[in-house]
Amino acid sequence: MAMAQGFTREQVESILKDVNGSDLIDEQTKAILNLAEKATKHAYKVTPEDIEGLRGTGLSDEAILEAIHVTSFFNYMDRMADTTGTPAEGLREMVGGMQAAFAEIRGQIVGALAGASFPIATPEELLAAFPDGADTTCQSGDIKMTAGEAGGLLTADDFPFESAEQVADTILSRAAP
Amino acid sequence: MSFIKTLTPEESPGVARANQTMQEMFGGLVPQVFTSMNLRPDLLEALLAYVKRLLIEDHALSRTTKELIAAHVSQVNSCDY
Repeated sequence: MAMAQGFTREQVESILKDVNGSDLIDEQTKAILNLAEKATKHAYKVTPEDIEGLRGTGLSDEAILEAIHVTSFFNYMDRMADTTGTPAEGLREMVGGMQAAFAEIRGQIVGALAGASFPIATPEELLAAFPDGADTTCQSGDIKMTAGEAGGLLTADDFPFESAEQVADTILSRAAP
Repeated sequence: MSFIKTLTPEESPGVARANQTMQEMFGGLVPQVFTSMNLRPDLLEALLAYVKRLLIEDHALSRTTKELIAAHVSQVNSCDY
């Protein structure tokens, strides 16, 4: 899945494994992620010097406050999910309205496969089922994906597919950053 | 499934309204945790307004930065989303 900004799932994993050593993010982002970690583990240990350190990277107080909101909000959602016994899945996709974009793309995938006959047993059959083959494109805002790219997210174990909805849900479950 | 009782839109006009808000925000892909809170649709609606302002709209931080914060918090909490 191509995004105008943002990282792939692998890049996110590599950044989070070693925030301060990553060359994929700038000093401001590192400072924000360090604060997020400290606030999540033991918020009572956050000091005025920590906040001054964020200011030192050029962040405005407005940006710092927003980072504290985002950090606190996701902690809140984790507590809420765990305590109500619900999975915390799908929360990151709220950022930037990704769910709405995904839902639109899901509709486009299902629509593109409207004329296909199921079950579809192989990747070749799947690509052939799209109107423009591998070049069939789905798009919502700055998120864009071709059928060829989407096919790259699937594995042999995903086949056979029984419906267009199943194809769309499988692709989108892999595409989340 | 939630540990806490939830309501259907038929049982509660507030839930019907909250579902409409979530449909507009998430287009059918509603995170389950929101549904688990719908016994108090008034609180859910207030939370959704906050989510829209903080996460869906752009203000001081980029979408990428907010996604990284979310991923980092979830990893530190060992909670996979």
